[in-house]
Amino acid sequence: MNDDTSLIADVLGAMGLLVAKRVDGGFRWIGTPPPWSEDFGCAASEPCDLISSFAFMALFLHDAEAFWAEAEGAATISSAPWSEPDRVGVDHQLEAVAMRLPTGSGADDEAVEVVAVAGAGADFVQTQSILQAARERRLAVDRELAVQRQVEQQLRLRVEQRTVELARTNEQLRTLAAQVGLAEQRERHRLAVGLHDHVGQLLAAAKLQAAAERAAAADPAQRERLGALLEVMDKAIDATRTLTFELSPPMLYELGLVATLASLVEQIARQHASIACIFCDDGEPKEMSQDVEVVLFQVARELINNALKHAAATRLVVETRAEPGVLVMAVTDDGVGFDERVLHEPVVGAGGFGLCTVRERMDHLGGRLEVDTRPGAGTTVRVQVPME
Amino acid sequence: MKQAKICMLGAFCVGKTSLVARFVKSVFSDKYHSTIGVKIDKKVVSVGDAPVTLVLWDLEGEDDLVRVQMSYLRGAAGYLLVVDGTRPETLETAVLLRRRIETEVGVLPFVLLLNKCDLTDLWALDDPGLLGLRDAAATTLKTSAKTGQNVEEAFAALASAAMGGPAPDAAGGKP
Repeated sequence: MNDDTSLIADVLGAMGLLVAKRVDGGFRWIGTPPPWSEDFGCAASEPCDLISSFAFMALFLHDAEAFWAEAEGAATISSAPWSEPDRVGVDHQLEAVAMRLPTGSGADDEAVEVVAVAGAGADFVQTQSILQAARERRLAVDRELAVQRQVEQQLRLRVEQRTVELARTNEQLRTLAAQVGLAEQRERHRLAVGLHDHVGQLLAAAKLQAAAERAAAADPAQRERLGALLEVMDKAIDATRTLTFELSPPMLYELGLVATLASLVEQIARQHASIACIFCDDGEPKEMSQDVEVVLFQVARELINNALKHAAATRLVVETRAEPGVLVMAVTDDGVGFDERVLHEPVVGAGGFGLCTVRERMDHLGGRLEVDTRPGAGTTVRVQVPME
Repeated sequence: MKQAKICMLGAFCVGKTSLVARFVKSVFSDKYHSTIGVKIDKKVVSVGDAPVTLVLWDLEGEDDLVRVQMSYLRGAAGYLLVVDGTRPETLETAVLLRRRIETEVGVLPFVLLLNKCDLTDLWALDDPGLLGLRDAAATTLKTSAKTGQNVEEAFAALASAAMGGPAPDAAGGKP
Protein backbone atom coordinates (compact mmCIF):
# COMPACT_ATOMS: atom_id res chain seq x y z
CA MET A 1 0.00 0.00 0.00
CA ASN A 2 1.45 3.36 -1.01
CA ASP A 3 1.14 6.52 1.10
CA ASP A 4 -1.95 7.84 -0.71
CA THR A 5 -3.85 4.60 -0.24
CA SER A 6 -2.76 4.41 3.36
CA LEU A 7 -4.04 7.95 3.89
CA ILE A 8 -7.40 7.07 2.32
CA ALA A 9 -7.61 3.96 4.49
CA ASP A 10 -6.89 5.99 7.60
CA VAL A 11 -9.54 8.57 6.71
CA LEU A 12 -12.18 5.96 5.81
CA GLY A 13 -11.27 3.89 8.86
CA ALA A 14 -11.69 6.94 11.08
CA MET A 15 -15.21 7.32 9.63
CA GLY A 16 -16.09 3.76 10.79
CA LEU A 17 -16.17 2.37 7.25
CA LEU A 18 -15.23 -1.14 6.24
CA VAL A 19 -12.77 -0.74 3.35
CA ALA A 20 -11.47 -3.35 0.91
CA LYS A 21 -9.10 -2.95 -2.03
CA ARG A 22 -9.50 -4.92 -5.25
CA VAL A 23 -6.41 -7.04 -5.93
CA ASP A 24 -5.85 -9.84 -8.44
CA GLY A 25 -9.57 -10.52 -8.95
CA GLY A 26 -10.21 -10.58 -5.21
CA PHE A 27 -10.21 -8.15 -2.30
CA ARG A 28 -7.96 -7.31 0.65
CA TRP A 29 -8.80 -5.34 3.78
CA ILE A 30 -7.39 -1.84 3.96
CA GLY A 31 -6.81 -0.75 7.51
CA THR A 32 -8.58 -2.46 10.37
CA PRO A 33 -12.23 -3.49 9.86
CA PRO A 34 -14.49 -1.47 12.25
CA PRO A 35 -16.02 -3.27 15.26
CA TRP A 36 -19.57 -3.37 13.80
CA SER A 37 -18.32 -5.42 10.82
CA GLU A 38 -16.99 -8.23 13.03
CA ASP A 39 -20.56 -9.50 13.39
CA PHE A 40 -20.53 -10.07 9.62
CA GLY A 41 -17.29 -12.08 9.89
CA CYS A 42 -15.05 -9.22 8.78
CA ALA A 43 -11.77 -9.12 10.72
CA ALA A 44 -8.17 -8.35 9.85
CA SER A 45 -7.35 -11.97 10.59
CA GLU A 46 -10.07 -13.32 8.30
CA PRO A 47 -9.93 -13.57 4.52
CA CYS A 48 -11.60 -10.66 2.77
CA ASP A 49 -14.70 -12.25 1.23
CA LEU A 50 -17.30 -9.52 0.80
CA ILE A 51 -19.87 -11.74 -0.94
CA SER A 52 -19.84 -14.30 1.88
CA SER A 53 -20.13 -11.54 4.47
CA PHE A 54 -22.90 -9.57 2.79
CA ALA A 55 -25.62 -11.10 0.60
CA PHE A 56 -26.15 -7.71 -1.03
CA MET A 57 -22.53 -7.61 -2.24
CA ALA A 58 -23.17 -10.21 -4.97
CA LEU A 59 -25.36 -7.64 -6.66
CA PHE A 60 -23.31 -4.58 -5.82
CA LEU A 61 -19.94 -5.98 -6.89
CA HIS A 62 -21.48 -7.02 -10.21
CA ASP A 63 -22.35 -3.35 -10.79
CA ALA A 64 -18.97 -2.23 -9.39
CA GLU A 65 -17.02 -4.48 -11.81
CA ALA A 66 -18.86 -2.90 -14.73
CA PHE A 67 -18.19 0.54 -13.26
CA TRP A 68 -14.45 -0.07 -12.78
CA ALA A 69 -14.18 -1.35 -16.33
CA GLU A 70 -15.66 1.87 -17.69
CA ALA A 71 -14.53 4.54 -15.22
CA GLU A 72 -11.59 6.82 -15.96
CA GLY A 73 -9.77 8.94 -13.40
CA ALA A 74 -11.29 9.38 -9.99
CA ALA A 75 -14.86 8.18 -9.81
CA THR A 76 -17.37 6.88 -7.29
CA ILE A 77 -20.63 4.97 -7.32
CA SER A 78 -22.77 4.20 -4.31
CA SER A 79 -25.42 1.64 -3.63
CA ALA A 80 -28.90 2.32 -2.42
CA PRO A 81 -29.13 1.72 1.31
CA TRP A 82 -29.96 -1.81 2.32
CA SER A 83 -30.64 -3.77 5.47
CA GLU A 84 -29.23 -7.17 6.26
CA PRO A 85 -28.89 -9.32 9.39
CA ASP A 86 -25.44 -10.14 10.73
CA ARG A 87 -24.39 -13.64 11.76
CA VAL A 88 -26.33 -13.44 15.02
CA GLY A 89 -29.49 -12.21 13.31
CA VAL A 90 -29.31 -8.49 14.20
CA ASP A 91 -30.41 -6.24 11.35
CA HIS A 92 -27.93 -3.56 10.22
CA GLN A 93 -28.66 -0.74 7.87
CA LEU A 94 -25.80 -0.51 5.40
CA GLU A 95 -24.63 1.43 2.38
CA ALA A 96 -21.77 0.63 0.01
CA VAL A 97 -19.51 2.82 -2.12
CA ALA A 98 -17.20 1.71 -4.94
CA MET A 99 -14.36 4.06 -5.79
CA ARG A 100 -11.65 4.32 -8.40
CA LEU A 101 -8.83 6.48 -7.08
CA PRO A 102 -5.68 7.54 -8.95
CA THR A 103 -2.63 7.07 -6.70
CA GLY A 104 -0.66 9.93 -8.17
CA SER A 105 -0.92 12.96 -10.44
CA GLY A 106 0.70 11.39 -13.52
CA ALA A 107 -1.23 9.80 -16.38
CA ASP A 108 0.62 6.52 -15.98
CA ASP A 109 0.01 6.24 -12.24
CA GLU A 110 -1.88 3.10 -11.24
CA ALA A 111 -5.49 3.56 -10.01
CA VAL A 112 -6.75 1.90 -6.83
CA GLU A 113 -10.21 0.31 -6.81
CA VAL A 114 -11.81 0.30 -3.41
CA VAL A 115 -15.11 -0.76 -1.84
CA ALA A 116 -16.25 0.90 1.39
CA VAL A 117 -19.25 -0.19 3.47
CA ALA A 118 -20.91 2.13 5.98
CA GLY A 119 -22.59 0.31 8.82
CA ALA A 120 -24.25 3.09 10.79
CA GLY A 121 -27.03 3.84 8.35
CA ALA A 122 -27.56 7.25 9.88
CA ASP A 123 -27.57 8.98 6.52
CA PHE A 124 -30.89 7.61 5.40
CA VAL A 125 -32.82 7.88 8.62
CA GLN A 126 -33.97 11.33 7.55
CA THR A 127 -34.82 10.11 4.07
CA GLN A 128 -36.79 7.29 5.61
CA SER A 129 -38.72 9.59 7.91
CA ILE A 130 -39.59 11.96 5.05
CA LEU A 131 -40.70 9.08 2.83
CA GLN A 132 -42.57 7.47 5.67
CA ALA A 133 -44.39 10.69 6.56
CA ALA A 134 -45.42 11.19 2.92
CA ARG A 135 -46.67 7.62 2.65
CA GLU A 136 -48.52 7.73 5.95
CA ARG A 137 -50.34 10.86 4.77
CA ARG A 138 -51.15 9.12 1.50
CA LEU A 139 -52.40 6.03 3.35
CA ALA A 140 -54.59 8.14 5.64
CA VAL A 141 -56.17 9.86 2.63
CA ASP A 142 -56.60 6.54 0.80
CA ARG A 143 -58.25 4.95 3.83
CA GLU A 144 -60.58 7.91 4.25
CA LEU A 145 -61.53 7.68 0.58
CA ALA A 146 -62.04 3.94 0.90
CA VAL A 147 -64.35 4.40 3.88
CA GLN A 148 -66.25 7.12 1.98
CA ARG A 149 -66.56 4.83 -1.02
CA GLN A 150 -67.83 2.04 1.20
CA VAL A 151 -70.38 4.30 2.91
CA GLU A 152 -71.54 5.65 -0.46
CA GLN A 153 -71.84 2.12 -1.80
CA GLN A 154 -73.89 1.03 1.21
CA LEU A 155 -76.14 4.07 0.92
CA ARG A 156 -76.60 3.51 -2.80
CA LEU A 157 -77.53 -0.12 -2.17
CA ARG A 158 -79.94 0.90 0.57
CA VAL A 159 -81.62 3.48 -1.68
CA GLU A 160 -81.87 0.93 -4.50
CA GLN A 161 -83.40 -1.65 -2.15
CA ARG A 162 -85.87 0.88 -0.75
CA THR A 163 -86.78 2.07 -4.24
CA VAL A 164 -87.48 -1.49 -5.33
CA GLU A 165 -89.52 -2.12 -2.16
CA LEU A 166 -91.45 1.11 -2.68
CA ALA A 167 -92.18 0.30 -6.32
CA ARG A 168 -93.34 -3.17 -5.30
CA THR A 169 -95.56 -1.76 -2.55
CA ASN A 170 -97.02 0.83 -4.94
CA GLU A 171 -97.72 -1.85 -7.47
CA GLN A 172 -99.41 -3.98 -4.82
CA LEU A 173 -101.48 -0.98 -3.72
CA ARG A 174 -102.51 -0.22 -7.29
CA THR A 175 -103.47 -3.84 -7.87
CA LEU A 176 -105.37 -3.91 -4.61
CA ALA A 177 -107.15 -0.65 -5.44
CA ALA A 178 -108.08 -1.99 -8.84
CA GLN A 179 -109.37 -5.23 -7.30
CA VAL A 180 -111.35 -3.29 -4.71
CA GLY A 181 -112.80 -1.09 -7.47
CA LEU A 182 -113.82 -4.11 -9.52
CA ALA A 183 -115.23 -5.89 -6.47
CA GLU A 184 -117.24 -2.79 -5.64
CA GLN A 185 -118.49 -2.55 -9.22
CA ARG A 186 -119.48 -6.24 -9.24
CA GLU A 187 -121.39 -5.78 -6.01
CA ARG A 188 -123.13 -2.69 -7.40
CA HIS A 189 -123.94 -4.66 -10.51
CA ARG A 190 -125.38 -7.49 -8.41
CA LEU A 191 -127.57 -4.99 -6.52
CA ALA A 192 -128.59 -3.27 -9.78
CA VAL A 193 -129.57 -6.60 -11.31
CA GLY A 194 -131.58 -7.42 -8.17
CA LEU A 195 -133.37 -4.10 -8.33
CA HIS A 196 -134.06 -4.38 -12.06
CA ASP A 197 -135.00 -8.05 -12.27
CA HIS A 198 -136.87 -8.48 -9.00
CA VAL A 199 -137.97 -5.24 -7.34
CA GLY A 200 -138.59 -3.57 -10.73
CA GLN A 201 -140.59 -6.55 -12.00
CA LEU A 202 -142.63 -6.78 -8.80
CA LEU A 203 -143.43 -3.08 -8.97
CA ALA A 204 -144.43 -3.41 -12.62
CA ALA A 205 -146.68 -6.39 -11.80
CA ALA A 206 -148.21 -4.52 -8.86
CA LYS A 207 -148.81 -1.51 -11.09
CA LEU A 208 -150.55 -3.66 -13.70
CA GLN A 209 -152.74 -5.23 -11.03
CA ALA A 210 -153.60 -1.85 -9.49
CA ALA A 211 -154.41 -0.44 -12.93
CA ALA A 212 -156.74 -3.43 -13.56
CA GLU A 213 -158.41 -2.93 -10.18
CA ARG A 214 -158.84 0.76 -10.96
CA ALA A 215 -160.43 0.01 -14.34
CA ALA A 216 -162.82 -2.49 -12.74
CA ALA A 217 -163.76 -0.31 -9.76
CA ALA A 218 -167.30 1.17 -9.89
CA ASP A 219 -166.82 3.40 -6.86
CA PRO A 220 -165.31 6.80 -7.90
CA ALA A 221 -163.71 7.22 -4.52
CA GLN A 222 -162.03 3.86 -4.85
CA ARG A 223 -160.83 4.73 -8.42
CA GLU A 224 -159.36 7.96 -7.08
CA ARG A 225 -157.49 6.11 -4.32
CA LEU A 226 -156.19 3.54 -6.82
CA GLY A 227 -155.11 6.42 -9.13
CA ALA A 228 -153.11 7.96 -6.32
CA LEU A 229 -151.59 4.54 -5.62
CA LEU A 230 -150.62 4.21 -9.30
CA GLU A 231 -148.83 7.62 -9.17
CA VAL A 232 -146.82 6.48 -6.16
CA MET A 233 -145.99 3.25 -7.94
CA ASP A 234 -144.84 5.17 -11.03
CA LYS A 235 -142.51 7.20 -8.82
CA ALA A 236 -141.19 4.01 -7.19
CA ILE A 237 -140.55 2.48 -10.61
CA ASP A 238 -138.74 5.67 -11.78
CA ALA A 239 -136.67 5.76 -8.58
CA THR A 240 -135.78 2.09 -9.02
CA ARG A 241 -134.66 2.73 -12.62
CA THR A 242 -132.58 5.76 -11.60
CA LEU A 243 -130.99 3.90 -8.72
CA THR A 244 -130.29 0.90 -10.97
CA PHE A 245 -128.53 3.16 -13.51
CA GLU A 246 -126.51 4.92 -10.82
CA LEU A 247 -125.47 1.67 -9.21
CA SER A 248 -124.45 -0.06 -12.42
CA PRO A 249 -126.30 0.45 -15.65
CA PRO A 250 -127.35 -2.97 -16.96
CA MET A 251 -126.86 -1.64 -20.49
CA LEU A 252 -123.11 -1.35 -19.84
CA TYR A 253 -123.06 -5.14 -19.73
CA GLU A 254 -125.58 -5.58 -22.49
CA LEU A 255 -124.74 -2.81 -25.01
CA GLY A 256 -121.22 -1.77 -24.04
CA LEU A 257 -119.39 1.42 -23.06
CA VAL A 258 -120.26 3.75 -25.96
CA ALA A 259 -124.02 3.24 -25.74
CA THR A 260 -123.96 3.58 -21.96
CA LEU A 261 -121.92 6.80 -22.09
CA ALA A 262 -124.37 8.19 -24.64
CA SER A 263 -127.23 7.32 -22.28
CA LEU A 264 -125.38 8.83 -19.33
CA VAL A 265 -124.81 12.10 -21.19
CA GLU A 266 -128.51 12.20 -22.15
CA GLN A 267 -129.46 11.69 -18.53
CA ILE A 268 -127.08 14.48 -17.42
CA ALA A 269 -128.55 16.76 -20.06
CA ARG A 270 -132.04 16.13 -18.72
CA GLN A 271 -130.93 16.81 -15.16
CA HIS A 272 -128.88 19.98 -16.00
CA ALA A 273 -130.82 21.96 -18.53
CA SER A 274 -128.48 24.97 -18.28
CA ILE A 275 -125.52 22.93 -19.58
CA ALA A 276 -125.21 21.87 -23.21
CA CYS A 277 -124.19 18.22 -22.94
CA ILE A 278 -122.81 16.53 -26.05
CA PHE A 279 -121.57 13.02 -26.69
CA CYS A 280 -119.41 12.19 -29.73
CA ASP A 281 -118.13 8.84 -30.91
CA ASP A 282 -116.22 8.10 -34.12
CA GLY A 283 -118.27 4.96 -34.79
CA GLU A 284 -115.18 2.73 -34.96
CA PRO A 285 -115.22 -0.65 -33.13
CA LYS A 286 -113.55 -0.59 -29.71
CA GLU A 287 -112.64 -4.03 -28.38
CA MET A 288 -112.13 -4.09 -24.62
CA SER A 289 -112.75 -6.45 -21.76
CA GLN A 290 -115.81 -5.84 -19.65
CA ASP A 291 -113.59 -4.98 -16.65
CA VAL A 292 -111.86 -2.22 -18.63
CA GLU A 293 -115.22 -0.88 -19.84
CA VAL A 294 -116.46 -0.79 -16.24
CA VAL A 295 -113.38 1.16 -15.14
CA LEU A 296 -113.73 3.61 -18.05
CA PHE A 297 -117.40 4.16 -17.27
CA GLN A 298 -116.54 4.88 -13.61
CA VAL A 299 -113.82 7.28 -14.74
CA ALA A 300 -116.19 9.05 -17.16
CA ARG A 301 -118.81 9.45 -14.45
CA GLU A 302 -116.19 10.82 -12.03
CA LEU A 303 -114.86 13.31 -14.61
CA ILE A 304 -118.41 14.46 -15.48
CA ASN A 305 -119.31 14.86 -11.79
CA ASN A 306 -116.09 16.89 -11.28
CA ALA A 307 -117.08 19.21 -14.12
CA LEU A 308 -120.63 19.57 -12.79
CA LYS A 309 -119.46 20.28 -9.24
CA HIS A 310 -116.45 22.56 -9.80
CA ALA A 311 -116.28 23.91 -13.36
CA ALA A 312 -119.35 26.18 -13.54
CA ALA A 313 -119.43 25.12 -17.20
CA THR A 314 -122.06 25.93 -19.86
CA ARG A 315 -120.89 23.23 -22.25
CA LEU A 316 -119.77 19.65 -21.58
CA VAL A 317 -118.49 17.32 -24.29
CA VAL A 318 -117.77 13.62 -23.81
CA GLU A 319 -115.90 12.03 -26.69
CA THR A 320 -114.73 8.50 -27.49
CA ARG A 321 -112.59 7.52 -30.44
CA ALA A 322 -110.33 4.71 -31.54
CA GLU A 323 -106.71 5.41 -32.37
CA PRO A 324 -104.19 2.77 -33.43
CA GLY A 325 -104.20 0.21 -30.61
CA VAL A 326 -105.80 2.53 -28.05
CA LEU A 327 -109.14 3.95 -27.05
CA VAL A 328 -109.20 7.65 -26.23
CA MET A 329 -111.92 9.09 -24.03
CA ALA A 330 -112.04 12.84 -23.37
CA VAL A 331 -114.24 14.98 -21.16
CA THR A 332 -114.09 18.70 -22.01
CA ASP A 333 -115.79 21.64 -20.32
CA ASP A 334 -115.67 25.39 -20.88
CA GLY A 335 -115.59 26.17 -17.15
CA VAL A 336 -113.22 27.92 -14.77
CA GLY A 337 -110.27 25.54 -15.23
CA PHE A 338 -107.57 25.23 -12.55
CA ASP A 339 -103.85 25.38 -11.90
CA GLU A 340 -102.34 22.18 -13.25
CA ARG A 341 -99.71 22.15 -10.47
CA VAL A 342 -102.46 20.93 -8.10
CA LEU A 343 -102.20 17.57 -9.84
CA HIS A 344 -98.52 17.20 -8.97
CA GLU A 345 -98.91 18.21 -5.32
CA PRO A 346 -102.42 17.22 -4.28
CA VAL A 347 -103.47 18.70 -0.95
CA VAL A 348 -106.33 17.40 1.16
CA GLY A 349 -109.26 19.76 0.69
CA ALA A 350 -107.64 21.54 -2.26
CA GLY A 351 -108.48 18.92 -4.88
CA GLY A 352 -106.34 16.86 -7.15
CA PHE A 353 -106.84 13.48 -5.47
CA GLY A 354 -109.69 12.42 -7.76
CA LEU A 355 -107.53 12.84 -10.86
CA CYS A 356 -104.61 11.13 -9.08
CA THR A 357 -106.88 8.13 -8.49
CA VAL A 358 -107.90 8.17 -12.15
CA ARG A 359 -104.22 8.29 -13.15
CA GLU A 360 -103.46 5.27 -10.94
CA ARG A 361 -106.34 3.33 -12.46
CA MET A 362 -105.05 4.15 -15.93
CA ASP A 363 -101.52 3.12 -14.91
CA HIS A 364 -102.87 -0.20 -13.75
CA LEU A 365 -104.54 -0.73 -17.15
CA GLY A 366 -101.32 0.24 -18.95
CA GLY A 367 -102.93 3.49 -20.07
CA ARG A 368 -102.36 7.14 -19.25
CA LEU A 369 -104.09 10.37 -18.30
CA GLU A 370 -103.50 13.86 -19.68
CA VAL A 371 -104.97 17.08 -18.33
CA ASP A 372 -105.06 20.27 -20.33
CA THR A 373 -106.26 23.20 -18.27
CA ARG A 374 -105.45 26.61 -16.91
CA PRO A 375 -107.45 29.04 -14.78
CA GLY A 376 -110.32 30.58 -16.78
CA ALA A 377 -109.73 28.47 -19.86
CA GLY A 378 -111.79 25.31 -19.27
CA THR A 379 -110.50 21.77 -18.86
CA THR A 380 -109.94 18.74 -21.03
CA VAL A 381 -109.16 15.44 -19.35
CA ARG A 382 -108.07 12.76 -21.77
CA VAL A 383 -107.57 9.10 -20.87
CA GLN A 384 -106.09 6.51 -23.11
CA VAL A 385 -106.10 2.72 -22.65
CA PRO A 386 -104.85 -0.11 -24.84
CA MET A 387 -107.52 -2.01 -26.76
CA GLU A 388 -107.55 -5.79 -27.18
CA MET B 1 -26.92 -26.29 0.68
CA LYS B 2 -28.87 -24.84 -2.22
CA GLN B 3 -29.75 -21.16 -2.09
CA ALA B 4 -32.62 -19.40 -3.85
CA LYS B 5 -32.98 -15.65 -4.09
CA ILE B 6 -36.61 -14.66 -3.65
CA CYS B 7 -37.83 -11.06 -4.05
CA MET B 8 -40.84 -9.41 -2.43
CA LEU B 9 -42.54 -6.90 -4.70
CA GLY B 10 -45.60 -4.70 -4.54
CA ALA B 11 -46.90 -1.22 -3.87
CA PHE B 12 -45.94 0.56 -0.65
CA CYS B 13 -47.55 -0.59 2.60
CA VAL B 14 -49.04 -3.80 1.19
CA GLY B 15 -47.29 -5.82 3.92
CA LYS B 16 -44.16 -7.21 2.20
CA THR B 17 -41.90 -6.59 5.21
CA SER B 18 -44.57 -7.90 7.58
CA LEU B 19 -44.93 -11.11 5.57
CA VAL B 20 -41.16 -11.67 5.74
CA ALA B 21 -41.14 -10.88 9.47
CA ARG B 22 -44.00 -13.34 10.03
CA PHE B 23 -42.24 -15.98 7.93
CA VAL B 24 -38.73 -15.54 9.33
CA LYS B 25 -39.32 -14.39 12.91
CA SER B 26 -42.99 -15.27 13.53
CA VAL B 27 -43.70 -11.71 14.63
CA PHE B 28 -46.11 -9.00 13.50
CA SER B 29 -46.35 -5.29 14.19
CA ASP B 30 -49.21 -3.00 13.20
CA LYS B 31 -46.79 -0.07 12.89
CA TYR B 32 -45.80 0.81 9.36
CA HIS B 33 -42.10 1.28 8.55
CA SER B 34 -41.11 2.22 5.03
CA THR B 35 -38.38 -0.02 3.68
CA ILE B 36 -35.51 1.95 2.17
CA GLY B 37 -33.68 0.21 -0.67
CA VAL B 38 -33.82 -3.47 0.15
CA LYS B 39 -34.02 -5.54 3.32
CA ILE B 40 -32.39 -8.94 3.16
CA ASP B 41 -33.27 -11.96 5.29
CA LYS B 42 -32.63 -15.68 5.13
CA LYS B 43 -34.55 -18.76 6.09
CA VAL B 44 -33.96 -22.43 5.48
CA VAL B 45 -36.95 -24.37 4.14
CA SER B 46 -37.44 -27.87 2.81
CA VAL B 47 -38.31 -28.37 -0.80
CA GLY B 48 -39.13 -32.00 -1.19
CA ASP B 49 -36.57 -33.62 1.10
CA ALA B 50 -33.80 -31.10 0.40
CA PRO B 51 -33.05 -28.08 2.58
CA VAL B 52 -32.88 -24.80 0.66
CA THR B 53 -31.77 -21.43 1.98
CA LEU B 54 -34.20 -18.79 0.83
CA VAL B 55 -32.46 -15.42 0.58
CA LEU B 56 -35.35 -13.01 0.82
CA TRP B 57 -34.94 -9.63 -0.83
CA ASP B 58 -37.68 -7.40 0.48
CA LEU B 59 -37.66 -4.51 -2.00
CA GLU B 60 -38.97 -1.08 -1.10
CA GLY B 61 -42.54 -0.47 -2.16
CA GLU B 62 -43.37 1.16 -5.43
CA ASP B 63 -45.28 4.44 -5.59
CA ASP B 64 -44.99 7.78 -7.35
CA LEU B 65 -42.08 8.70 -5.05
CA VAL B 66 -40.06 5.51 -5.36
CA ARG B 67 -39.51 3.27 -8.39
CA VAL B 68 -38.34 -0.28 -7.73
CA GLN B 69 -34.90 -0.98 -9.22
CA MET B 70 -35.27 -3.99 -11.50
CA SER B 71 -31.54 -4.71 -11.12
CA TYR B 72 -32.35 -6.03 -7.64
CA LEU B 73 -34.05 -9.01 -9.28
CA ARG B 74 -30.84 -10.12 -10.95
CA GLY B 75 -30.27 -13.77 -10.04
CA ALA B 76 -33.72 -14.16 -8.44
CA ALA B 77 -35.39 -17.57 -8.69
CA GLY B 78 -38.85 -16.05 -8.32
CA TYR B 79 -40.84 -13.42 -6.54
CA LEU B 80 -43.84 -12.88 -4.35
CA LEU B 81 -46.13 -10.23 -5.81
CA VAL B 82 -48.07 -8.68 -2.95
CA VAL B 83 -51.38 -6.83 -3.18
CA ASP B 84 -53.23 -5.14 -0.34
CA GLY B 85 -56.78 -6.52 -0.54
CA THR B 86 -58.18 -3.37 1.03
CA ARG B 87 -56.61 -1.06 -1.59
CA PRO B 88 -57.61 -1.97 -5.16
CA GLU B 89 -55.05 0.48 -6.58
CA THR B 90 -52.25 -1.79 -5.31
CA LEU B 91 -53.48 -4.45 -7.74
CA GLU B 92 -52.80 -2.05 -10.61
CA THR B 93 -49.27 -1.43 -9.25
CA ALA B 94 -48.75 -5.21 -9.14
CA VAL B 95 -49.79 -5.53 -12.78
CA LEU B 96 -47.35 -2.78 -13.79
CA LEU B 97 -44.51 -4.31 -11.74
CA ARG B 98 -44.99 -7.73 -13.33
CA ARG B 99 -44.99 -6.16 -16.79
CA ARG B 100 -41.71 -4.34 -16.02
CA ILE B 101 -40.11 -7.49 -14.63
CA GLU B 102 -40.96 -9.44 -17.78
CA THR B 103 -39.61 -6.63 -19.97
CA GLU B 104 -36.43 -5.81 -18.05
CA VAL B 105 -35.53 -9.05 -16.26
CA GLY B 106 -37.42 -11.86 -17.95
CA VAL B 107 -40.15 -14.33 -17.07
CA LEU B 108 -39.81 -15.56 -13.48
CA PRO B 109 -42.16 -17.74 -11.46
CA PHE B 110 -44.22 -15.74 -9.02
CA VAL B 111 -46.89 -16.25 -6.39
CA LEU B 112 -49.65 -13.67 -6.08
CA LEU B 113 -50.53 -12.76 -2.51
CA LEU B 114 -53.75 -10.93 -1.65
CA ASN B 115 -52.66 -9.74 1.75
CA LYS B 116 -54.50 -8.36 4.80
CA CYS B 117 -57.30 -10.91 4.39
CA ASP B 118 -58.04 -10.52 8.11
CA LEU B 119 -59.57 -7.11 7.28
CA THR B 120 -62.74 -8.61 5.87
CA ASP B 121 -64.85 -5.48 6.40
CA LEU B 122 -62.49 -3.40 4.29
CA TRP B 123 -61.84 -6.03 1.59
CA ALA B 124 -62.19 -4.33 -1.78
CA LEU B 125 -61.03 -6.85 -4.39
CA ASP B 126 -63.91 -8.37 -6.33
CA ASP B 127 -62.41 -9.11 -9.73
CA PRO B 128 -62.08 -12.89 -9.96
CA GLY B 129 -59.49 -12.62 -12.75
CA LEU B 130 -57.50 -10.01 -10.83
CA LEU B 131 -56.54 -8.26 -14.06
CA GLY B 132 -54.94 -11.34 -15.55
CA LEU B 133 -52.50 -11.99 -12.69
CA ARG B 134 -54.28 -15.06 -11.36
CA ASP B 135 -53.69 -17.03 -14.56
CA ALA B 136 -50.05 -15.96 -14.80
CA ALA B 137 -49.16 -16.69 -11.17
CA ALA B 138 -47.89 -20.08 -10.04
CA THR B 139 -50.58 -19.79 -7.40
CA THR B 140 -52.71 -17.12 -5.75
CA LEU B 141 -53.25 -16.99 -2.01
CA LYS B 142 -55.15 -14.81 0.40
CA THR B 143 -52.71 -14.09 3.21
CA SER B 144 -52.54 -12.26 6.49
CA ALA B 145 -49.21 -11.34 8.02
CA LYS B 146 -51.21 -10.46 11.12
CA THR B 147 -52.77 -13.90 11.67
CA GLY B 148 -50.18 -15.87 9.73
CA GLN B 149 -52.83 -17.25 7.38
CA ASN B 150 -51.19 -18.86 4.33
CA VAL B 151 -47.82 -17.19 4.97
CA GLU B 152 -45.78 -20.41 5.27
CA GLU B 153 -47.76 -21.81 2.34
CA ALA B 154 -46.94 -18.78 0.19
CA PHE B 155 -43.16 -19.07 0.63
CA ALA B 156 -43.32 -22.86 0.28
CA ALA B 157 -45.31 -22.52 -2.95
CA LEU B 158 -42.80 -20.09 -4.42
CA ALA B 159 -39.81 -22.16 -3.25
CA SER B 160 -41.40 -25.17 -4.89
CA ALA B 161 -42.15 -23.30 -8.11
CA ALA B 162 -38.68 -21.71 -8.16
CA MET B 163 -36.91 -25.04 -7.58
CA GLY B 164 -39.06 -26.83 -10.17
CA GLY B 165 -40.91 -28.75 -7.47
CA PRO B 166 -44.45 -30.13 -7.36
CA ALA B 167 -47.50 -28.13 -8.33
CA PRO B 168 -48.12 -25.06 -6.17
CA ASP B 169 -51.40 -26.44 -4.79
CA ALA B 170 -49.30 -28.99 -2.91
CA ALA B 171 -48.36 -26.11 -0.61
CA GLY B 172 -51.78 -26.50 0.95
CA GLY B 173 -52.83 -22.86 0.76
CA LYS B 174 -56.35 -21.83 -0.06
CA PRO B 175 -56.78 -18.88 -2.42
